[in-house]
Amino acid sequence: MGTPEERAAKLASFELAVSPYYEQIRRFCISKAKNIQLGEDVAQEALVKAFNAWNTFADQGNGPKSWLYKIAANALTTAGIKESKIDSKREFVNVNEEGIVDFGFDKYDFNHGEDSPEMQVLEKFSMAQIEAAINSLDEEFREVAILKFIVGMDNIEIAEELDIVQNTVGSKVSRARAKLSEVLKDMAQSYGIGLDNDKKK
Amino acid sequence: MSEINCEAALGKVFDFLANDLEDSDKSQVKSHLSTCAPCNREFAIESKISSLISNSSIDAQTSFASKMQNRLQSEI
Repeated sequence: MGTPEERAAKLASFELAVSPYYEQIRRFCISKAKNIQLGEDVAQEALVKAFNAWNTFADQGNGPKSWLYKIAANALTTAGIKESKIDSKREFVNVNEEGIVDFGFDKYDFNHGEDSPEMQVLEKFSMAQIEAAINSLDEEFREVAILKFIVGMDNIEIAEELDIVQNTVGSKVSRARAKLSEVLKDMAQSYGIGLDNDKKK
Repeated sequence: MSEINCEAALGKVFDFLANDLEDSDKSQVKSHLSTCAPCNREFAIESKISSLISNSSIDAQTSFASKMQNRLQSEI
């Protein structure tokens, strides 16, 4: 619909107003789906729906945020994800101004001398390996790992989302983090062996 | 300050990396790491994994934004 110029103008106006919320919607959908891929797919569908309905959005002066969360909540329901609590006010407290999750890791400089082969392989790991490792965890740890390390929730938010007692969250997160390390180190080791074999050939 | 052994130090690795330790616990860990190469190596690996997780989150965000851009381009 409309001329190419009108369509391009619609896209530009949508992106200007809505792209600052892409990441929040992505994390919101992942937190509800408790599944990285499914959550991302639903978020994408929701944002496409929002784009197609962009001309119906009437700004009350607060921007499109709550409108977007409503569309995302509907998309989650359509995808069969039970929407127990929608908290569109959630800001994801650990996200900094650039929208990047700040995990608050200590910048302590470890003096580990020469890097082990394991370390060299880990160095090459990226998003794909981290997500694969998280997906391979048992459900109990996977859900916690997704909420903590992908969505960036704090322990209070995780307790609410999973409806569990707050003081058990800390140990669940630690155990999930330990499991994640085990998987990643195993992956690094098997990749490392693969690399060595290649060298020998 | 009392000394801690490897088991105690390794038990605090995630809290240490998440900056979740009291100052006294943190000093104990640091002092153990300054004298124990195997633990230092283990902490370095865990620290690497923590930063991988954190970088992965940034990559996921960038990748989603560019997926959205392509998808919306195809919608118009």
